[in-house]
Amino acid sequence: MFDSALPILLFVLVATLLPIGMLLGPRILAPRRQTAVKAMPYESGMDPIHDTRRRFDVRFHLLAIDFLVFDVELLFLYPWAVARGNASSGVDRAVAANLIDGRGIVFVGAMVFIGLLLAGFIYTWRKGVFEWR
Amino acid sequence: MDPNAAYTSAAGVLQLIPEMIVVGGAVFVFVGGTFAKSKTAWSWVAAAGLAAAGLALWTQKVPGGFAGPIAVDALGYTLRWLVLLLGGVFVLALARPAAAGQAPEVTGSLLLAIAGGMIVSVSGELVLLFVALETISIPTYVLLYVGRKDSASQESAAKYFFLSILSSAVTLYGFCFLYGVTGSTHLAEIARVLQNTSVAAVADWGPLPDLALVLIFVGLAFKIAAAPFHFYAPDVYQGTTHENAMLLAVLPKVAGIAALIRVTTLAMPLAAGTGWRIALFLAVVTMTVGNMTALWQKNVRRLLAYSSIAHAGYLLIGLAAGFAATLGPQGSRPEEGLGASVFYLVVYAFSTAGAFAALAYLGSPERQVDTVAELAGLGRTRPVSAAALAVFMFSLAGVPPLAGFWGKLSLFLSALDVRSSPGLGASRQTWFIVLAVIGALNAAVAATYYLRVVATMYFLPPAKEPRAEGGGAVRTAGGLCLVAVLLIGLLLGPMLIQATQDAVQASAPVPPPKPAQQAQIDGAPPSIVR
Amino acid sequence: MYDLGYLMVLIPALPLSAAVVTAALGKRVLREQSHWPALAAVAASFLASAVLLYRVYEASRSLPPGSTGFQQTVSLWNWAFIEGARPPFDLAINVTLRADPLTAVMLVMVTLVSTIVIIYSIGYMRGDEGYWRFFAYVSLFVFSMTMLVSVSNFALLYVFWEAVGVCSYLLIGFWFHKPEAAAAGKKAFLVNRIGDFGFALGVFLLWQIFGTLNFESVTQPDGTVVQGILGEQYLQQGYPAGSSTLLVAACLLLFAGACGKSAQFPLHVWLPDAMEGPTPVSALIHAATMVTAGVYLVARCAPLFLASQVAPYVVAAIGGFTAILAALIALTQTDLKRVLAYSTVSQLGYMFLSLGTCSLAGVTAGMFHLFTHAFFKALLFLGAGSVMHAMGGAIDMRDFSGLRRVMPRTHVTFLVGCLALAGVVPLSGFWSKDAILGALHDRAHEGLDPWIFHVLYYLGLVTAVLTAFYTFRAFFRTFYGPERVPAEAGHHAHESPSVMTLPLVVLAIGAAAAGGLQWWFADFLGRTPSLSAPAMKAAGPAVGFHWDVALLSTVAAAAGIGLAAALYLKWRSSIESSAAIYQSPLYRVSWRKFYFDEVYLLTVVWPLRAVGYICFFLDFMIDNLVNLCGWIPRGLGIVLRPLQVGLLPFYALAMVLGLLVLIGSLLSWY
Repeated sequence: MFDSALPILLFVLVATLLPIGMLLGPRILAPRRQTAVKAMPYESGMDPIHDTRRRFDVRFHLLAIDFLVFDVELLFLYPWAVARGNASSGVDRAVAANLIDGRGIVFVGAMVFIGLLLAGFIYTWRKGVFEWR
Repeated sequence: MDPNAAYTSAAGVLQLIPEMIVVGGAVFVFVGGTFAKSKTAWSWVAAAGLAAAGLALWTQKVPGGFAGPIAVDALGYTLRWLVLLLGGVFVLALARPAAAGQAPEVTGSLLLAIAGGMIVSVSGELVLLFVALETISIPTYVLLYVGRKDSASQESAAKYFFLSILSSAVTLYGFCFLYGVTGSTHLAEIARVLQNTSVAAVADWGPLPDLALVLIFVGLAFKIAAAPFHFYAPDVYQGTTHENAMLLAVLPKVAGIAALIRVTTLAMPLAAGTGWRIALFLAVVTMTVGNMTALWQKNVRRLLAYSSIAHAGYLLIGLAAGFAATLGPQGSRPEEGLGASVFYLVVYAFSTAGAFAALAYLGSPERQVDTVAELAGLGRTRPVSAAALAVFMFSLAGVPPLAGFWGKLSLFLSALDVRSSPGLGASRQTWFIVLAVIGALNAAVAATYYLRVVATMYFLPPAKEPRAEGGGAVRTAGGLCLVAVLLIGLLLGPMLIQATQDAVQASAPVPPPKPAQQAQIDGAPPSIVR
Repeated sequence: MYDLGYLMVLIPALPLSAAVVTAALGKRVLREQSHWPALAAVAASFLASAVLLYRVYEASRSLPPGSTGFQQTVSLWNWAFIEGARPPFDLAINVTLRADPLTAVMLVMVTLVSTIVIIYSIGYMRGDEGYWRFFAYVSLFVFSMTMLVSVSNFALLYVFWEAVGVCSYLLIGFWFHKPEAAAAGKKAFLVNRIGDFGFALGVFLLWQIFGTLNFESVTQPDGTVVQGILGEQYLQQGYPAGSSTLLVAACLLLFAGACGKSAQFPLHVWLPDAMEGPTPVSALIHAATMVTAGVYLVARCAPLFLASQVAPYVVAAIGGFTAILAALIALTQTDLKRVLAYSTVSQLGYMFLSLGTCSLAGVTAGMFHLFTHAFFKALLFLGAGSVMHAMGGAIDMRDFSGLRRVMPRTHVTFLVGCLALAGVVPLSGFWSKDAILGALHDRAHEGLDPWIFHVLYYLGLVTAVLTAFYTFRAFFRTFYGPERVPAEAGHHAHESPSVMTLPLVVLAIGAAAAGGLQWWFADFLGRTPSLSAPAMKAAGPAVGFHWDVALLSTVAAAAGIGLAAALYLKWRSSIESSAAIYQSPLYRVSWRKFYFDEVYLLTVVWPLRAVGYICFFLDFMIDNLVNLCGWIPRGLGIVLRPLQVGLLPFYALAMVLGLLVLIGSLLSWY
């Protein structure tokens, strides 16, 4: 009965013990020498020049989200574009296996997806996201 | 599901025409809003979109079973109508706040959330279900944030956002386990596989189906605000407007219960033993926590938040009874409890939406009603609004002959109808009797704070000049809810209970296997979609 | 026959619709015209009742000789149904109306007096701010009363029994801003409660005995016949012997209800106080109609009472005792309406006395007295109202006298009423009283236990003397002697308008002439199925006229009138100035109404009040206990509230902890 639960329990156990061990190990083993240099955020890098919790312009945020939108679009559209022409492993095979009603439905689906993205694009454009004011 | 039918079919896509109309309306509002300056037109557009969707839904056929990932059954049809009608109420209620601020964003997000609720109702497949749940959640974050600029509303939006994504993650984790066990994301297939109760298979799975059930249950328990996943609700309701609170109190609850019924009770018969224990436990804790804490509240939205938590507990009673009846003995009717939950959902939704609408109407855009004390003397100064609010309170308290009475009656009866199976689970019946008793005690306690609102309105001298500047739209919304509550209470109650139970019965993905089929299922390969 | 059923429905339906219309439109629309719906509906109802009476008469006359009497029922709808309420019986309460001679006579009497009183009220109530309310209540009363006499089921009888009680309460307390009126309404209500409690218990017992509450036998859809309590089988073959103890209890309990409604000892105390209501109400409800409901009930159930063997003696004894008791009290009262009220109590006692014989002659005599009494007592009350109207609200006979020239028409009609009440030949009272005395006389010489009825017969004769005396005492004091008018009347003491005197004339004609109907009446009532039962006919000899009885009662009336004339016409001044009489203990006992109110205050009201205080204390204790229970949820709330800290990380932690608890418990099940 525990056949399949056992790996999970082991996983949980290991996942719990590992960080504890990693925290405890150095504390026991490692030597501790506190100096001013050691207390710096980047011990061997550049000196920080200001607080990390610094405000930056919200327009970066909007641009980043817009970038993400098109990134995800690519993620969906790429396999679709590749699978279209491939008779042995693509859409045609799925149709043959009766997983999909027909090729048309896949095409319409992708077009609707693109259309929705287009609407989003128009929305962000009209809202002035691309104008750096 | 017919194994020969295509998984992604034109028939399934056509089933979603009402939802497509709503989403199309949302896109139109979003894009159109960047061109036209009008503030008031968008609510009309939304209303027109909902009306068109209703027309499309009216013409839909309900063949039963699945069309690809879409469940084209009576339960889905019923719930879609519920969400669509509630959507009408939301659009009316939010018309004024929308016109006061960023109208296209508010209206468009609202439409998307409504579409999400409708898709949840018909999802027969885990991925679609999850996407639909998120289609409710994400626009809701926007709605919570967009309306007001004060820190309280920002706090409430942030709280809801973080906890909501946590719950989504938990739900998704549960879906993963379910897929891992059954090898499919389709509910019909999952149900078929999980009906396989051969000793070897059960031993092979171990606790995994039950683990999946717990995770899914917990994730969705957040949506319906069941304890101990309810903590966000009071803070968020208090920090936002009456109109947003109405949306939050109703729509996720409908979606959560719909998803719970579809995934956990109907599709996971093997885990029903765990299911009824969890549902019963959560029901008791949720009812008690909600009602006891509500006794102390002075803020109306907070009061109604705890009230909505308590009602989540009542809703879980029907679910628990449904789980238990799945286990037998012969002749048990899972649809009795599940149907009672769905009916209670209808009752709760209209009563709560009505209460929030009445409160929204009684305030003004600048300053809304916050405390119970502000309602003092309303029976004299605003007799109609006070009477409507009193009806909603009585309905929530479950006073006959209003709608809430039928809801509670059917839930408690379904709990009392649970029978023990011989052998295993012999104490089940006792547990459910205890559950019904605790439920009844809770209902009695709950009457205290509902009646306190009524008493404040009728027995205390007027506090100050009532404003009642909420506008005609929200008044119409409240009026619609009032009609629904009275109609269900006085006329349609017993009939609707029967109808919802029939709908649930007609929507079980796989009928219980006959002994002859059992052996055949035992030997069958687990899945067709890998 | 369909139209008979149509009439049966129409008679109560018209006043009900008038009540609804007046209640809905009276205050704003009808206002000073509020009497029209009531008048039109009740008058139409009277016409319908008259037609009904005629049809019932025709139908009963065409019956073959030796048949069991005429009745017809119309079943409207099923009001309540409980399957197997007392296996093997179902509790089925059908709204069924009946028409038989008894009901028809009651309907005609009720609607006729109601019509006359409503006409009178147009004048009497004019200018009252509750004008519309009055007519709404009266219409409602007429509806309830017609239903009471029409229904064919004990459960519905109880419903309308209470309904007339409510109307009575509303009308006694019509001027509710007057504390006496409010108190009188309350008193009537509470005293009636006691009787009605008995009635309800009696109905339960009947259900226990018979397994049905219907009067008549009902054929069920499956073909079986449920024998009604007053159904053919019981009437013809007698009641089962095994149930006699229960039957006695049931009859006595029903009679307790009748005592409350008809103001019989010991529940008679409410009726005199009920005179605080408007005078037309006193005439209609508290003299002619509602108070006779008890008489109707006993008459209706006469075979049942007869079968119980014991109950008739109780009825007769209580009736006879009440008759003489109330007559003795009436001797000294100075409030004109109170004299009439005690007279009503006394006459109702007379009716019960007659019903107590439980012979066909006795029951028809009692019902006939009810019929004639309705005329002359309504006449007397309306006459008193007319006096009160003229005197500016004063009604104490010490305040006025010698009004015969001021109010000539009232004087003459009042005289007719007094003569009828005193039982002077040939007015109606003579015939009905004579029929009662005749029935008693027959029972005293034939049948069982003659000595009891001997006593009761002489009791009746003495009461007749007293009745004649107090009636004419009131008459002489009011209309003769020196003309004196109280200050309240001002200088415009005058005869009442003709809208008030015309009803007096009509009633006077009725009071004078109704006696001629006696033989017809007895014959007609005898065709009621329940009264034509063999047992009823066997209980006493048939209706007959006794010259000796008639002579004796005439002598009694003459003696009473003569005494009154001697005291109040001849030696009036010496009587009024004689302190010795007023100081005498006998006078005081009568004047204080035999101290019933005081005794009840001591024996019932104060002990109950003490119990009330104890209950209040217990209630206080239990309240606090309940409050303590109420604090448990609140306490839980106090415990749970601090969890709501408002911190997002804590909420997330709580969710995860909840999840872990559930997973942990899941694994523990494995």
